[in-house]
Amino acid sequence: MCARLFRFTMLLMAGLLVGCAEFSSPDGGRVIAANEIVIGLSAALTGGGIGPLGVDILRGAELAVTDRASLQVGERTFTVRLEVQDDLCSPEGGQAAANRFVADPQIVAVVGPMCSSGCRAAAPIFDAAGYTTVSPSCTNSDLTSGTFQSFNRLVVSDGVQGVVAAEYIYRELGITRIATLHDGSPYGEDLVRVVAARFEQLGGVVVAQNAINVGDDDFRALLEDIGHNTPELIYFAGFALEAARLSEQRADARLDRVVFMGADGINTQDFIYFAGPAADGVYASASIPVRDQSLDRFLAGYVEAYGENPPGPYHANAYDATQLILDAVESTATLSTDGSLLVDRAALAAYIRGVRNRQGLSGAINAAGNGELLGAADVAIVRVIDGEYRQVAVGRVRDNSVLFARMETP
Amino acid sequence: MNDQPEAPVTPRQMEVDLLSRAWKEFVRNPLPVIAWLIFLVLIFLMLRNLLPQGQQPASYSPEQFLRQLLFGLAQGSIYAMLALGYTMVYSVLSIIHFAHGEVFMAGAYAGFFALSAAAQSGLLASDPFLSVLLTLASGIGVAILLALLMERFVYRPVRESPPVVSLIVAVGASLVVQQAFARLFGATARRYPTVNLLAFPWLFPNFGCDSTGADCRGIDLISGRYDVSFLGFNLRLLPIHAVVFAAALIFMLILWFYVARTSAGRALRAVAEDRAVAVLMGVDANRAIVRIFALGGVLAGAAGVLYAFYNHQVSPFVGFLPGVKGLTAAMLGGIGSVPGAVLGGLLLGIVEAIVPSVLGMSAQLKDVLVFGILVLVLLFRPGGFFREITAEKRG
Amino acid sequence: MIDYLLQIRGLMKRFDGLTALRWVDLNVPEHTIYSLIGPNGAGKTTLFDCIHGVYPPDEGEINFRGHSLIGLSTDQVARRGIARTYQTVRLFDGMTVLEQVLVGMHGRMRTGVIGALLRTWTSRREERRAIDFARQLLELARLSDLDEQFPQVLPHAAQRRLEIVRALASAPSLLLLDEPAAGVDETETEEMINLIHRIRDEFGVTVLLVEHDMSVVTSISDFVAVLDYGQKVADGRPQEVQANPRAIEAFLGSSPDLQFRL
Repeated sequence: MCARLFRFTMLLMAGLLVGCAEFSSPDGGRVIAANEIVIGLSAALTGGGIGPLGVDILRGAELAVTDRASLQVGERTFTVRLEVQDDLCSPEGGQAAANRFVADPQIVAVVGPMCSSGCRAAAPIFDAAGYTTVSPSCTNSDLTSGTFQSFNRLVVSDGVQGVVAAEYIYRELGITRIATLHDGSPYGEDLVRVVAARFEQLGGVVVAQNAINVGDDDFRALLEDIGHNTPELIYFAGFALEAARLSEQRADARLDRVVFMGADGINTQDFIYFAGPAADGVYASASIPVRDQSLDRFLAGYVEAYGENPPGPYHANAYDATQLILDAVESTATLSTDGSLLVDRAALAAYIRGVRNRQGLSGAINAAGNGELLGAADVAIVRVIDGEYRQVAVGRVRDNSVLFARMETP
Repeated sequence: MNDQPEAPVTPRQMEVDLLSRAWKEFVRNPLPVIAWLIFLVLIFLMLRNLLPQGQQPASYSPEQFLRQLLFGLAQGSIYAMLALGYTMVYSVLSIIHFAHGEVFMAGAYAGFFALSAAAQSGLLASDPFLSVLLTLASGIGVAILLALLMERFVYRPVRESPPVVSLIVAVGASLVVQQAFARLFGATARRYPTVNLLAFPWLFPNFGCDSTGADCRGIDLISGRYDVSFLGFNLRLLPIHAVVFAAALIFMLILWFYVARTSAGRALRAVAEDRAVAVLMGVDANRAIVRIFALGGVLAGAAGVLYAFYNHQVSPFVGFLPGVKGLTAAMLGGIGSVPGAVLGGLLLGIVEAIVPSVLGMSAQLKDVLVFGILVLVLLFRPGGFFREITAEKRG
Repeated sequence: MIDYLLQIRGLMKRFDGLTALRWVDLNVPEHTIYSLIGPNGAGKTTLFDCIHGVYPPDEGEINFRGHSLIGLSTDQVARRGIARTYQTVRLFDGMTVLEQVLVGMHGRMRTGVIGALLRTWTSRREERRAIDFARQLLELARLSDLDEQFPQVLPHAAQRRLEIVRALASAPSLLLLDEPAAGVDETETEEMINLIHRIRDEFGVTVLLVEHDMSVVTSISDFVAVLDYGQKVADGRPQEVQANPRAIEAFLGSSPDLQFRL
């Protein structure tokens, strides 16, 4: 009895090992699809403060699939479908989502992951499987330093966003003393580093630097501590829930007059809801497309489809990422003798890393070869006025200097 | 016969001897030395921040201390109320009621629905006092209900099992409740409506006046902030902090009175000490245990609503961290001791608020600090930090 | 035919092949002191446990006031009016002498949590009455001036007496005492005998006790039953049992440390 059980267990384990080996074998080099082209999407769809960002990304991708519901290859037509995984905006979630995608040989490429922590954790898994990912929102600047072959992004890196933010604070707001806070995520840490470095380079003083834990609720003592150093502005790189608490608890720590500024992580309607009256006057930023007719049309379609304004900033980026993947499939796929679709993963990756002079909703797409796909792009500075984010300035980075176009404020 | 004189012990030999003995002692039990080293480093960091550096004033001022102390006391009061729940359940059943944080969360959530309903129906605007009472009542009610359901379906079936079993079951129950709330009400957080509860116009005649200055309705107990100058310190006082602190103290007194001075409390203590004998004497042990869970529910529900009144956000996961902190507080105070739980909670809140600033360390390390203290206390004073102070008079 | 308070018929209890009780019959009349004696392992404590619902007997009947106790749990038996003390002292370490006795009364108190917290008039009256009764019991056990003490500081004999009046606090009609005089010296034994007599006479409580000390048994009991190896070998008035050859044999044949003083 025992011996039989033992043999069964050994066989089971052997089977599992063989199965695993199959999943991760580099022979995932080709996708063979009978009728469908499946694109993965990895974003945080649940969770306080981050869910809306992911939902916004999902909707952008859905609209792209609606616009291009099928793809013509040779004389055959293939339908396009999204396969969605919730990556929870965490390293573990990013890994879990990546593992599910690489276990499914039907996935041609992946839009996402959503957060820099997830991108960093998932990239090695995608690398090993020869997959290609296009993230609409991972802004951490280290991600494109050459380590990851699978990683591409259609968003401006924090190297740009942070620089624009620092320049805006110093030059446009005329503030010389800031305190920085981040939430311990790679995204937050990196962004704060960029902002602080640029701000000091400009001649400003970073009077305090600190970090918080995601999920903490009482930041009053910390704000009191920061207030002791008399900053004029608190720059926080993190997400909506913590930002809402921080901006709300400012008043409890006698910091009513200190400006609060975040980045794309708090550029959601959610933040305004959570912070309540304390949201008024808060700044945020996001890489944005230049406003033109195609974008306006897209936004109109968005509102029509979902009945509300986008809850986050990355719908256009997700739309472009999905379209780009479909382009890549269209131009690299071939038909096999039995009429099924063949996509060579290496060719697809090469196409995406080499794409040039393509106009997307989020800007001009010009691959730099390291995974950065968006060329010169604009970063919008937005501010909460009367309960909603309004664009107050647009910054453009040219040769390491920033030009601002100011919006007229009502 | 051995006439050889013993070799005289030279001071150097003695030194070597002492050193080797110290080394052996260190190898045998390195903990005290390590603890002292950590302690000294902390003292050094503290002095560096407290003393003026040349021309520069000290980076940590008494005024800052006072302000942070107030924040710490408020947060500590929340921990204290939770710690009371852990400590009571532990003293009767010798189990860690790990899902207590979820009871807190359920209270905050129920309060959210009541308060939102009040805000939407206009009751909140017309009668804030009644709305706040209803919010508290529904928070406490749901918390009691959840605590009793847990007692009946989670803890009672494993009551006779080893404590590890009930701990594991409790952790499981905690996750189940979290996930159930996330599925029922969504995983995203909700925001408590802002409440303006003006009270005590006779005590504070110059507060809460309308634009004409004729009608003054007292201080805003929940959302008010008042700048006060006290002994030359400029403080911003939040009445809600005082409310939370007072609530913790009042609950502690009620609990103490209940346990020490009432017949039901005596029965409870009897069950805690020797359930078999208590049962023989006609004490209904189940009823006593149900009562203790209900009392824990009252405290956790009230704490949940008060917490949400001033921290505003509630989500299915909002109970976890305060729950763990409450448990830590109970252990710091010596689990099983009522005053110990309150002292532990307040200490924890104050440490969280003050120590990162005093030591000049990142606020991210706040939790590391708290759990580090717990480890040290458990290592060197397993009975809790306040054991000697709170030990009851016994022969 | 006398009406017995407690009637036991053909009680059998086995533990893994060891027969602890074998066909035991016992009739305890009301308002009497009934003693069970017998050497170690004779099954006296097992009998108590069976009566008290700690474990069910394998066979036989136990009737209390004409109702069967079989299948009732310990607390149900306690509520029927049977109280008990243990061989070893089991007092609540964290309670004063007075509180120990008050706990015994808790089951009969009506005040709820809210009433107690609000100190309503009825709750205070009830509490006052309970304290009066508790003091009366302490008086009985000669512990009046020790009422604020914790039990650890009490002499052993006083702890024993406290345990007995604590059991009495729940107003039982039958009191099971497991070796009340164990480890108690001679003068204190006198006191204990006196206490048990007063419990019968002043409170009308029937006492069933297990005792090794034959001198205690003879001076205290109205009836005696001798158990040996789980069997009842003799019963009746103390004088009759002392004269019973089987009873004497049971004791002489057992270990010599027994104080069988005739």
